[in-house]
Amino acid sequence: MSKRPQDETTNPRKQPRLAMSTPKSTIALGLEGSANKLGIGLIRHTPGQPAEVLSNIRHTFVSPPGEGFLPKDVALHHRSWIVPLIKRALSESGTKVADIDCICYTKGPGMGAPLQSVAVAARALSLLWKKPLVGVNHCVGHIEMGREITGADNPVVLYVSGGNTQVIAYAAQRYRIFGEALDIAVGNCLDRFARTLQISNDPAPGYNIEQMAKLGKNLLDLPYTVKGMDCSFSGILASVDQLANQLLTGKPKPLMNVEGTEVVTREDLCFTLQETVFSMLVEITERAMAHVGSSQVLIVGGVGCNERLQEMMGLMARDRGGSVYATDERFCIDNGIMIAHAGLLAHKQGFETTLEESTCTQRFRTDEVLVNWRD
Amino acid sequence: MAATEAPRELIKQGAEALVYKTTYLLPTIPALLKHRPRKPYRHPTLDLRLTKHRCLSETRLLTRCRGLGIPVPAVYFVDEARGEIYMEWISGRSIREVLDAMIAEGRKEEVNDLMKKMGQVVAKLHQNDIVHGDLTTSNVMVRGERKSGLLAGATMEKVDAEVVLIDLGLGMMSTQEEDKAVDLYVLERAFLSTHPQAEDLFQDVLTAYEGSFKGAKAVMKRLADVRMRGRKRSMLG
Amino acid sequence: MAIHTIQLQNIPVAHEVHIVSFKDVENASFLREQLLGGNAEFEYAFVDASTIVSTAHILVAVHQAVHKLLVNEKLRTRNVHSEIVFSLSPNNNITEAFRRFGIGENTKSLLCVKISSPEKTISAAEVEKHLMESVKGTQMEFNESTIAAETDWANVGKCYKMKGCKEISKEVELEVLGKMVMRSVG
Repeated sequence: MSKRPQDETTNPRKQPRLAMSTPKSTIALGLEGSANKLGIGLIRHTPGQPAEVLSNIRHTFVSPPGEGFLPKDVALHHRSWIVPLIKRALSESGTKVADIDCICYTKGPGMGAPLQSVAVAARALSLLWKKPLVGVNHCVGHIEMGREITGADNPVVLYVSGGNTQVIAYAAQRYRIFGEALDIAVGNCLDRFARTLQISNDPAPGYNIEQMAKLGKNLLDLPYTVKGMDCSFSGILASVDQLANQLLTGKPKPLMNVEGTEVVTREDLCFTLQETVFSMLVEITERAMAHVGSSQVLIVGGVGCNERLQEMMGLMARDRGGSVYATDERFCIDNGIMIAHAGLLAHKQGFETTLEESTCTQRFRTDEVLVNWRD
Repeated sequence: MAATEAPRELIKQGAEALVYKTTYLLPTIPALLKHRPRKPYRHPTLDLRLTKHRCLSETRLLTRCRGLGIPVPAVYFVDEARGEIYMEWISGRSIREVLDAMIAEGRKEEVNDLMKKMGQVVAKLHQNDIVHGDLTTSNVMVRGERKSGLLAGATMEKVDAEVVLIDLGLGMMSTQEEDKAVDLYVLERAFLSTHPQAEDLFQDVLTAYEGSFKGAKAVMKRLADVRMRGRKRSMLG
Repeated sequence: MAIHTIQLQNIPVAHEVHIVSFKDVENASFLREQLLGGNAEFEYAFVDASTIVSTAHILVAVHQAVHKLLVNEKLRTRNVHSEIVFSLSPNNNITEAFRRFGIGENTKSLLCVKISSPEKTISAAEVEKHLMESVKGTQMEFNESTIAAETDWANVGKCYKMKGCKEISKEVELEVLGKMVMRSVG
């Protein structure tokens, strides 16, 4: 995918500290741990050039099949891995602590305990290295990284992950939420279904569902719940779980396809679930695009890696004379680099999080953030 | 095979449907055609199921409204497999289009009358547990004339400004105050975003609404909540 | 000529519609027997005109039936002509539809509809000739006033479950059409 050059000349920004004739690079360290992935990223911004990924590494807490992850286990995982990971990021990229301009961490939204363990690490480093802290909204991190990597200038954004389902468009220095899931997130729906079918969580339940869905061919009826630009997934999960139980037990009778000609497989159920929920996502995205008059769409978040979702979105965008932008797993799945990137964008505008304010929060709406680095 | 193709003029391209001005039955009968085209991204089975379902539910809702005396277009013909609904052509313009001109020309009484009628129509909808689902000022028409006489005839008659609700494609039956309050909220937002000088006018709509049915007070109370959170809830990570 | 030939919108020219109307019909029972006996020469929609409220009313029924034929949707009745009669019904009871809207023993005013087809092209002159020979009654023009003159409002009220209508109006017409549409969408 092409990178968008950072157009610094038309958008003059306050340069930190040194005034100079030659443009100065800035470097940020990003720490992300709002869910079961611990991500460390180092990014360099040089005016007039694309952002440069110096390091982007991740370690994932994987739970056994049939189980989700508990906040306390994830927090423990993050605490044990954060120091070695940061060390590795620094040494692999050859970055010196002295070159780092700020330390960015995920303020929220996410799971409380994991967020806290990473915030504690961020504070400690800030004090130790005497570097400013920047608290970052996780969703804004996804959006900004997606824009940077794909070059999508002003897209409607579909943000889909285990914790979030939002349709977002930019207006007047905010990322405004046009539509969202009214109950559980789409990724949560997929993850929980994977547990019902005892599908492996390694590398990720959604990934394994995607591979199985490729082999499915029978589409079963599931509820389809779109309400304007919002949607809901809990009813669908309940229905598909019921079908899964029928499939696993063969009771009260074996699960057959709609025509009654074939026994339904696990792959068919994965296929059915994906086709249904992705259609809903594409539909609400299209509605938002029609509403704001945009033909670009950017998909971010862990579920955004799914190639079938990208394909469906592409077909929709093509019909509207536009195109779809998506990133691969390095940037779609939670990562530290996006936190570093979005944090640095804010920091260059003079934003800083004081030690007293360096809390984290499970609830943090995308539209609460002032996006003053965009026009 | 040569067909007597009715000419179609595309007048609106939404996310879900294409809307045409055309004729139905005879060249003298103007009609609106709402076409939900195939969505290539959707599995064909799911696509057909959704298209049929939506055509039918919109048709049922429109027919129910007419039965209750709520002014909406009459449905003439439905081909749910193709995703087509032919309905009555409403000659007139949307509130969105007429309001600014009316205000600019100082037609205050007409404006007040219109606001009142609008409040009453929405009240009647909600009183009967019907929610519009996309109640913007573009979806409320004002007509000053209509076809008189029978369908196959073609004379127009002048009528007092009449408010007609269009595009119930996202509509549904609901007894929930929340859904009704969101209808009002969407209308309010549409008002304020397109007619900044009309802030006090929307109050007239609400006054007429509130006085029109028993459940209105509860909906108004809910509207205050919806305004507070901007319809959206706080989000878990 | 009092035969009325119409090309409906979005319907192929080859399916043009011929309509002839009669009042003071004396041989309804003969005509009905031809239908029941499956006499191919009498493949018409014979509609009891007392149930019809306007020209658009019958044309909507014709349009629904022909459209169904064209999109290869399964007809609920034997052919496109019987389907026209069924299309007038506000419910799915076929026997009742024929009894109410089709020709009966005592039908006095009659709308005869014939649909031409690409396989069996039939001209207005042929239709009129055959009907003039077969129907004993007075031929009428097909227009709003002749239709209105034959409407039996007590009968219409029963057929469409509408009380108190005594004359045609825009609203009454749309109400009747609305009931037909609702039947068509199940």
